Amino acid sequence: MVKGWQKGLGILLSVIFMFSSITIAVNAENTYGDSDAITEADNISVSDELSYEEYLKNINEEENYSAEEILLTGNNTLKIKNAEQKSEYKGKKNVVEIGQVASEITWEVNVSEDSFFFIKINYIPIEYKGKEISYSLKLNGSVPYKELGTLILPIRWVDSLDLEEELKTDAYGNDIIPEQEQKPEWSTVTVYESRGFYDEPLGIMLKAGKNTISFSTIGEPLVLESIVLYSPEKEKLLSYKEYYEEYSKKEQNTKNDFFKTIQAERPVAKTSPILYPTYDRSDPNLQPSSPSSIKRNIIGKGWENYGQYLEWEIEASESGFYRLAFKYRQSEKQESSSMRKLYVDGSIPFEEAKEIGFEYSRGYSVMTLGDKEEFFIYLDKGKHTIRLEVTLGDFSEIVRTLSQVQEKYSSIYRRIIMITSTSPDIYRDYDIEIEIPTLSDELREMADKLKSVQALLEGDGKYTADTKTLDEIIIQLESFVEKPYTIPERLSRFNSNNTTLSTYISSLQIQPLELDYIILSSKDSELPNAEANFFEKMLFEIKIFLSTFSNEYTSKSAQKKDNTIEVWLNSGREQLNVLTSLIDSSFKEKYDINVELKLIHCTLVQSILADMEPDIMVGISRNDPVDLALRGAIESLDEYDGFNEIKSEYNKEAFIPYILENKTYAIPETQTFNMMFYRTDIFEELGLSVPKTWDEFYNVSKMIIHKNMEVGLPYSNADFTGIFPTLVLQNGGEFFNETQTAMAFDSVQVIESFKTWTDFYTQLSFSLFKDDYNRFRTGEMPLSIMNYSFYNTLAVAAPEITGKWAMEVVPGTAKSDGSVDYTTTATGTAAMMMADSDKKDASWKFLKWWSSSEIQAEYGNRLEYILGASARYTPANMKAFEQIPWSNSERDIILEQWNYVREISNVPGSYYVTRNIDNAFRAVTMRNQNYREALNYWTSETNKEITRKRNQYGLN
Amino acid sequence: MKNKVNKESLWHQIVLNHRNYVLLFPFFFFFVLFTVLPVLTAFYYSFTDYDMINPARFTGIENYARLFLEDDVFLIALKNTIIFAFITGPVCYICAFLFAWLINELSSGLRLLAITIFYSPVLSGQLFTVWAFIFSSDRYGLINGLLMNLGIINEPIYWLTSPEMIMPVLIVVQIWMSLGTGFLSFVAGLKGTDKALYEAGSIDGIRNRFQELWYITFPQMAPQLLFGAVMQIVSSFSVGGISTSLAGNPSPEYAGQTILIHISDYGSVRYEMGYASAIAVVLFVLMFFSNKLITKLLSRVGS
Repeated sequence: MVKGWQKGLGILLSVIFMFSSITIAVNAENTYGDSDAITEADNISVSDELSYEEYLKNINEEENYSAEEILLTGNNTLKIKNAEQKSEYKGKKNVVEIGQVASEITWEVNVSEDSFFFIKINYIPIEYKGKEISYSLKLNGSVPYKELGTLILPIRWVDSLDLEEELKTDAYGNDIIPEQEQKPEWSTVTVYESRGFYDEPLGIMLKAGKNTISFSTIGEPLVLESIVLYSPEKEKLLSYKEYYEEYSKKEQNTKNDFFKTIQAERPVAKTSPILYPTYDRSDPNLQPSSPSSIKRNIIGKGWENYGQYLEWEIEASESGFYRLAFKYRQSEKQESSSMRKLYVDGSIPFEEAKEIGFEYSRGYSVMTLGDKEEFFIYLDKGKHTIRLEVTLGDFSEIVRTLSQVQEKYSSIYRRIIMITSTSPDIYRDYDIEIEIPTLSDELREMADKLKSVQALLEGDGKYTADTKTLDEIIIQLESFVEKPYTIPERLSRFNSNNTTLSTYISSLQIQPLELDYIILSSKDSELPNAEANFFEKMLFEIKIFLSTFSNEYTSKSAQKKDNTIEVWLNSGREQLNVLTSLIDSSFKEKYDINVELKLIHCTLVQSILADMEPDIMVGISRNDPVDLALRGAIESLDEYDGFNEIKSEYNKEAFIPYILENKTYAIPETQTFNMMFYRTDIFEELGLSVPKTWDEFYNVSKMIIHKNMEVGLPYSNADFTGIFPTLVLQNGGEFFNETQTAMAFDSVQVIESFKTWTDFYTQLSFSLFKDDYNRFRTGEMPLSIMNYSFYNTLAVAAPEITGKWAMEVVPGTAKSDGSVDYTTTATGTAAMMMADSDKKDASWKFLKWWSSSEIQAEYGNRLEYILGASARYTPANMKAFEQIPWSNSERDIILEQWNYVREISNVPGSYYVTRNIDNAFRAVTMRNQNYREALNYWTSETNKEITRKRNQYGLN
Repeated sequence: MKNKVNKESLWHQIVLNHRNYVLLFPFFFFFVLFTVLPVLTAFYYSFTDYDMINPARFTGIENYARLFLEDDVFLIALKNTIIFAFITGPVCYICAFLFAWLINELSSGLRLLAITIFYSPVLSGQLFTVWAFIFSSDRYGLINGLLMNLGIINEPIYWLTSPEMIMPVLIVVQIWMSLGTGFLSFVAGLKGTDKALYEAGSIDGIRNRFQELWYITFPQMAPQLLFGAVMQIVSSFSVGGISTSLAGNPSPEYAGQTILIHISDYGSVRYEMGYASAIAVVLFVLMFFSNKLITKLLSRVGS
């Protein structure tokens, strides 16, 4: 009995702990957010452009296949805008050269009757920092369907070393990633949808009579030889059976014992520099392999997106049929195969080669072509190329349908939250089905589409786990149709289903595959074992273990010499590797200075205290140089030779945070600033225009919030990248007085700016904490000001909203003379030299080298090859920025904002500035204090600290 | 003269018991090296102005004068630390004992499970960061989301950023964190009690479990109770990591500032090692006397 109440007490105590927190929450309840204000029906029709699927429905393409072929060359153009006709370029005649400006070339085409064509493009890229060429095709002056508006021509890349050459190694015998370079070559590309949503090429329908066709680019340079309109009949391929019969008639001289392997990590062409050789040491049968050093022996990291291909060169000793086999690993997609298209000498040999599936294989396997019967390919004696290109195959229709559903999903979610807000009152009747009369039809249509996808998937009988995900969504959609009044309460689930769906779509889209080698052999040759047996593996592991006693891993450079400088890098492992290879390739020998590079994350102070500081520190955060310089730990750089030349390559403001008492203590590396991001589709739906000034921004925000959506402002209590500094500078206020001995926060401009800033939170209740990426994606937050590097996050990780958002300069403030001031502040990292360094000349050479535009650009680009576009480098060096692969329009808008960037200086005690601005901000937004008093109080605290610090270091 | 004799006799004692001293030496050596010396160094630096890069400059009692007379933030830190030490601490201490006592009544399998659960916050070290997720200020944070779904609030509460909410949240987390501190020693103490005494007690007229607890269990557990109390004091005075991880350093309007954070704010953000040492010395003195007080209080247990 006693035990009983004791247990009860135990439970009671734990319950009390949990609830003590909740009761606190209740007291803090805030009554803002009453959505009664929205009573009018928000029936907004979502206008979508025509898709290719719909386009095909409107025409009878099959009845209108034309037998003729139309050739559009540089000779028969109708109109050329911003491009140049050339009689000859790299062996081709009558071409059009298109430069780095938006250009358009138009042809006139006459057809005698309505005809349907596929399109081929013959072109050569001009070497350029971009990674692919975007273009669009117009028919009679407009894009006939949206897929033709976003087309892509690949650029071919190669490792910059000869095929016979071995990979270069570092001091320990580890292979170094070969440098990547563009290899412009004449190529022919059939026009496909750029994401692989359509299995077949895209076609256009020409009406009888005169038509015009235009090819327009946005600024990536190329030379266009011709555009060919051809009959879809020509796309028909032989089946393997026909192919085999056809080629059996030719000579058959293949030697019986022919067997050759081609190392897959050494392709002759690739579509992206990210497809560089990687390594795997899990198996001794990998070629090449070594127990003690890194051998780059496989390829395929990042080889998973539609359209990417790798091309190899093979050589047949005699004409005849050959077996083609691949040693591969596909350990990511358990449910389905990874699909590739096989090209031999640039064309697909037979129908089956359009879709070669690499089944799930956790370890390595050897696969020959064909499923039940093996496929052989016929090769004439001599060199040939084979190419594997990522395709979606069967899945293209499924992915397409799912994407359509997902798009609908987002739009419905948005329309619902405009009525209910993201956290609906579940006790209230919203009458959603009356507010959005088409809702149930749309939901039913979505459910039907999902069901059709499910049927397609289940048709193969092996994708059961996949379809479960869909089941859940279908059930919810159907019950929404039946019981629309339950929608508000299940809204969050509805939204998370949306996320599930988009994750699912991208999992279907990626087609990962890694290759070790390719085998070209005679028909009946024996295939090697893909993996070593248990004992071989064990022996290999033992060797690896033994080699750990002799290898050195800690530092990235070979022997110590007298002229060795020590460089600390405050960044990540990939950055270390890239910087190492850069130093190896273009610093060491050129200057005869050895560099010991270390990856270290710690405050420098301890190392200075222990007298173990480096010569150079790279990647240090914005506030540290001045803080340490104050204490005499940093070398000032103004006097060094060539400093002014370096400075001239930067934004005029970039050095300001690193200047103390007129001396510069660091060279900026990165510099980032805010830009405004908005969803074009939602702005269009709501009839909003892009805000140019803060007044407009305030009004637009009001409308967005009225529709239960959010607006995002950056908020940071650590640096000067919030909105407050932007407002202060735009209004003509300043942070510090002229001598930088105190804050200049007593001016009207500053106080008004502070009010404007806090008003966003107190009057419009902006969220202080938010997940920008997700809310921008779902459309809950259609307007947000964020760091410009966010652009790439969105471009890479949110494919479903491609083309539905844009980046603009931040809102400005109108000046009395009618101009608008778009000033914003920036943050970044820097490199600096320690005052105690005993190799200052060598160190300065390193700093100069590192800050030069070529090295900064090269570093950024190499980093991007390895980490992908989402990790795009944001150099402070403006000349280097020109080399970073932004498209022209993106670059222009970033540069426009950059010209308005102003930096705020670091003064002794700077940490107190941001800290106390934040304190004042919270006092106003969370405790409803008067903005003037709060700002004054905390500013006086800051001034005290600045004075104290200045006295301490004898600066007064 | 007398002194000299004493010294000689101490040396004499050492020579006599040299084996004990040899055995004591390793611990003593490291104790002096890593505990006594740093404390003395801190004491020295507390009278200087030292930024870790330039040599220390002797400034007398300037640091202390500033600390007690000028530093408003120190007062907040002191207040918060005292709340942790004298309110949260005893609550934890009592709760830990109650839980240990209750768990002691469970069957051995269940007891093991319960011990694991209660001790896990201590074992897991940095696990308190899950509270940052639970108390996220975002509208989709766990508690905010829950409360909004229940219709209790309409706007997210800024748990860890609003000056008013920080301390309550920190107290909850601190209680959760330090329940395990004394808990394990209490469980051990309860297991180690002599069962025969309870029988004797009931014959001698013990009427209920509370009398049993006070007169029999507590006196037997005195060493464990003292150990638990000292540990509790130490952990309560040195609350800091929780606050910096959850509310940031510095926290908004210094609402979550504790003495330890104040030390690290001055030591590692502003590089004012001298001033930070002065704060540390104050903290040391506070802890020392609190321990004395606790020992005194506990000596009254069971009497």
